[in-house]
Amino acid sequence: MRFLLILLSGLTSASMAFGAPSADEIMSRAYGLPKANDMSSTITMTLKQSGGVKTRTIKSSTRKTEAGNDSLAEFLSPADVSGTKFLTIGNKKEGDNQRLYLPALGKIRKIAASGKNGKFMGSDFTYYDMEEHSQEDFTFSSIGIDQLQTIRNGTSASIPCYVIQSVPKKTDSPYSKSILWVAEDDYFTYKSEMYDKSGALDKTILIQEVKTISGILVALKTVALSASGSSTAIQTADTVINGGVNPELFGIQYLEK
Amino acid sequence: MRFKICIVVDIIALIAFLNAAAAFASDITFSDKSLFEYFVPVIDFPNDTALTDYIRSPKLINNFGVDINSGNVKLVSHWDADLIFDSNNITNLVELIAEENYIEWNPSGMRLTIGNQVFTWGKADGINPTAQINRFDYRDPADISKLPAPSVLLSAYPASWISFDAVYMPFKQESLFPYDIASKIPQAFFNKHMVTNLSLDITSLNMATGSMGITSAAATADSVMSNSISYQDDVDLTKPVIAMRANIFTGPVDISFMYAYDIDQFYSPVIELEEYNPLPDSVQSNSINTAVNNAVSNGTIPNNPALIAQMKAALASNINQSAQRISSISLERKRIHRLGLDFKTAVGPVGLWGEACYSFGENPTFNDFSNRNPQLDWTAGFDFPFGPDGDWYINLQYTGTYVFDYDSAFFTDYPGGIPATNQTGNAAYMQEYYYRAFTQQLGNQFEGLTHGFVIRTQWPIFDESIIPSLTLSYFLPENYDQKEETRYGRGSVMADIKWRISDDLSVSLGTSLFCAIIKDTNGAILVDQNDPLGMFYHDSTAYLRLTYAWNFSPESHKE
Repeated sequence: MRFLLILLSGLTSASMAFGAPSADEIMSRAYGLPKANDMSSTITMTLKQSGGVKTRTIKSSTRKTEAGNDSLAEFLSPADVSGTKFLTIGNKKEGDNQRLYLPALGKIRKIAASGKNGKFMGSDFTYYDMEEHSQEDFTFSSIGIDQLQTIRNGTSASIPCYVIQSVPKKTDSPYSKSILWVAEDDYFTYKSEMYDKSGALDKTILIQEVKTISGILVALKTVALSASGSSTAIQTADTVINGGVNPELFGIQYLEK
Repeated sequence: MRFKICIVVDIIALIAFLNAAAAFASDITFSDKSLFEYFVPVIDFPNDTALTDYIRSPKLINNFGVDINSGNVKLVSHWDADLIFDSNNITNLVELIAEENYIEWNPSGMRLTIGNQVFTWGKADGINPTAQINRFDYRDPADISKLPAPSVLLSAYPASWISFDAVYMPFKQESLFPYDIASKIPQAFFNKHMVTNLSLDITSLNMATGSMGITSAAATADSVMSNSISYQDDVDLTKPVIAMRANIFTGPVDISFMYAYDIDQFYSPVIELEEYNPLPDSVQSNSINTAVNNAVSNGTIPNNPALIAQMKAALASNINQSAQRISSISLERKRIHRLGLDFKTAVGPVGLWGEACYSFGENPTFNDFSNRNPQLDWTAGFDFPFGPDGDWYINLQYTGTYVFDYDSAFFTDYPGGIPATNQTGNAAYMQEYYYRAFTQQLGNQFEGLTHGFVIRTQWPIFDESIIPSLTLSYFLPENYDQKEETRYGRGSVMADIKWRISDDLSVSLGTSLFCAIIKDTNGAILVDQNDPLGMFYHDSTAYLRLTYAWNFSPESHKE
């Protein structure tokens, strides 16, 4: 669930502006936005697909450590996955350790990392979308400026944005490039267009509502619109930032609890 | 009545649970999973459409439960209320099964759980040789499940990389089998083989040596005796189960070691023999008198009263053989030790695991036919996602059982499975014969080595609203007595296509096919219906399954 840190606090921002900061400067500010050391929230994920509308509810807890980002996702609904817990212990050097507790089996399973292109919980987000990436992993260039409509701290606003092209340096990215809309005033990334390896638009990610909590911008509503016609909306609630998440949540005992 | 004890324990837990519910109602979840299954036998369709016995009967299975969390205390109460529409057993239409019902206390660094529990030890996927503490429900080979047992679990978490589990189970009830164990012991073994008519013909007499030439012909009949089979008490408080496990969690690999002071889920026979005379006195005296009289009449022997008396005594002595037959069999579930090891790791997108368990009795003398020999069960496998977006999945396992010094010479030593006629009065010989006939079979040991593979794969399509899946298994028996048959293997095919109408509701169509093939002594290729999997051949079915599940937490609906 590292994606929460990313989607909610805008770590993947990118920027540019004419006669103003360069694309790299904008992205440095975007990446430099204050980040949560720990966060907990309840997430409702609504998937609109050819098979109908599906809803998943997840209780999420994350924290930053020296080794990486730890996260715990507890599935509250639907009934067939309720009680499932997904624990990631971040390890930047050796790779993350991921374990899944399945209540139907009553056991903890060490699981292999899914392919970066794999869908997270069948949604329009890939595991790659959820990962935290470094500014150094991309090459940025400015495209122009644009206006975006969003809700910020409860007020609807039209926000001037730098439009930045981001090209991944690593070949393991499922995308050939991304186009990012980074607000001129708060350097938060409000929109991302992701293009597949063939250069076609794969999906658009929109931050439709943000709120400043404990001095950190948090996305309350995010929507991913896939070119295939499906969409996934993520709504967060009960968000607590730097509230001191119980470290025992990130242990084996809590998984078995 | 087999659930009587569990239900008593559960009612106590339920009372505690309800009291606690009133106090802790702030974090409570109600859940239900209902499942309806309808089967059509496929092997002899349309001649065989009988929906009888557990495996074929339409079922409405309803699992409902309440979970309450309050701080470090958790209460769980889950029950099964099932309707089994077995037209042959309509009096047992309703099955009320106490599923997991326990109270858990979770202070920092430890966990104490008391109540009806299932222990899912082992890191392998689905086939877990180390998960032997609970008893099993074997009635449906497509859905073998563990049955909860009253027990205490104490877990300790001294560091993030290690934990320990200790289990105490005051008794272990018998598993549920698709057949009556006693049916595996033929009635003929209890019967007395009695001579009803004996025809003797004295053909010569050597007066110098006293030797006689005799031919004989006998008519026999079995004297049907009562089938005296008794079972060990289902609840035996003198035989608790104790098990321990250490779990190590490292970055590259998770490893567990386990030991269980267990009770065997299968039965071992304790056989008592009795000696009897297969030749009744009246038949004996009639046949001797007739033979001697005939020999006097035709001049084979002289008409000398003293000699005739001597000859009658000699004949009686010679033809009066005793025999040994089973008088009673006590079926006992003996103490068994288990040592287990399992691991799980991941290499890129591939999960890898291995698991093994060595089981041995308290008297593991390899030549003691009254006890089964130790056995090693293992599985090793891997899984990985594939296909579009990695949504598809495949899981392959190699699994097997090796029985140390398996007795594979029964039909060699006893041609046709029959003891030597001149040894039927030898108590030691017959005792060994009977143990060799039953001990391994009742203990589910049918060959010295059984190994094979299980492949499971699924390919969700249309945003996972349609989920086709296929499970194939094949096992090759080796190191068995080939005097009677040649076994080509046993296997199953389970194909299913699920339509997820919504998150809560799904409909599945599928089939479960079981088979075991042998070549008999005449060279005929047959389905072996005595095989542990082949016995379900005629219970291969196609099915329709509807599943509906929901959960509700008042806390999450407060807003």
